[in-house]
Amino acid sequence: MISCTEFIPAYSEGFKFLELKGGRGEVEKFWSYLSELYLTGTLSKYIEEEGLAGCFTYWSHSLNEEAADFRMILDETKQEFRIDMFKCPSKGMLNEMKHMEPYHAYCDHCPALYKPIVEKHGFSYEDDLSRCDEARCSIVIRKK
Amino acid sequence: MRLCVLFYVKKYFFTALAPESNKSLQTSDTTICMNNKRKTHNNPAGQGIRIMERKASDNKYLHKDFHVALNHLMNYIYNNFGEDSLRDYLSQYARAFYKPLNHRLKSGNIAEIERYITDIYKKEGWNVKITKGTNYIEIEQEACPGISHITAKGEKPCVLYRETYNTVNKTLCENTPFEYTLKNFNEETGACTQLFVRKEAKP
Repeated sequence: MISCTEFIPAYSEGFKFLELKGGRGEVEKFWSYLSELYLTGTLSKYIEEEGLAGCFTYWSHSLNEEAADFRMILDETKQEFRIDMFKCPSKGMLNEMKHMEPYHAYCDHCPALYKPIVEKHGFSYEDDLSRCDEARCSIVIRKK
Repeated sequence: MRLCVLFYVKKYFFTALAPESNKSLQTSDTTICMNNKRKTHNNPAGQGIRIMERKASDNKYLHKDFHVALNHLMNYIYNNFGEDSLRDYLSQYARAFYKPLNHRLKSGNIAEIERYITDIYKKEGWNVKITKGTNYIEIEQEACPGISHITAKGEKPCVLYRETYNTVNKTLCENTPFEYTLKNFNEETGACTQLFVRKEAKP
């Protein structure tokens, strides 16, 4: 059994495996497949039911369970939702595992998964991954 | 519940709670804690700002939905590249992730296997029966935590889900004095019996 606490290294190795099979395109194909399957009943459903506040609901659940170090702001007047990630649990875990080399573009999975979902509901998705090597990043989702 | 403090500032409503669960966090409009470790602000009028801040140490790391995500990854590899590729992927993962443990097992210390097994089920919060001797460890479980969560979410486990036991643990034992056998496995529940045995002690 692979514990859910060991999913991140399994996920990272999965990206490497798929890239060897079919290049970056294969990895992106998987992300697209996962986005549909994994987020339709959660993030997509919450946005459908609550609008932008659905983002707050979705990430309240996942980021707490993932024990992330973050600040999340929902400004309903500005129609803006923002996450400042101070220590991403996934990237942080991979950085700490000195015996494993993380997938070289590990952090690219986040926009690949989330962007299509929020755009489908009429929101824009912007991220800053410039410090993702330090397990830090930010995303802003706004009404288009 | 920790010591609380109550504020009322302009139209914002701050209630001091340190909820024990995420559920209570989500239903509470606003939380602010005296030590400032957990904060959630909200405007109950619905037209304001909601803020949530957390430190990594505020929560236990246990995101069970990752079982579902791993199942999707396995299905993707199985459906697009076949059985052998799925086993190859699981072997690649086990060789990379368990490299330090595999190295330690080469010394023949069976206590390393016990620690590994105990730790993995403890993290999942799952009860299993462990029987051990000088040369073996047997693990019996009535259900698999991964399969249980996947089915609870309305999904079906990958047809080769058993390989997360079989391939992963066989790979873990590569080039060590130990051998792993998945003695039985119920595909629907993940109930199974696993055996790690010292090769030289096999009858």
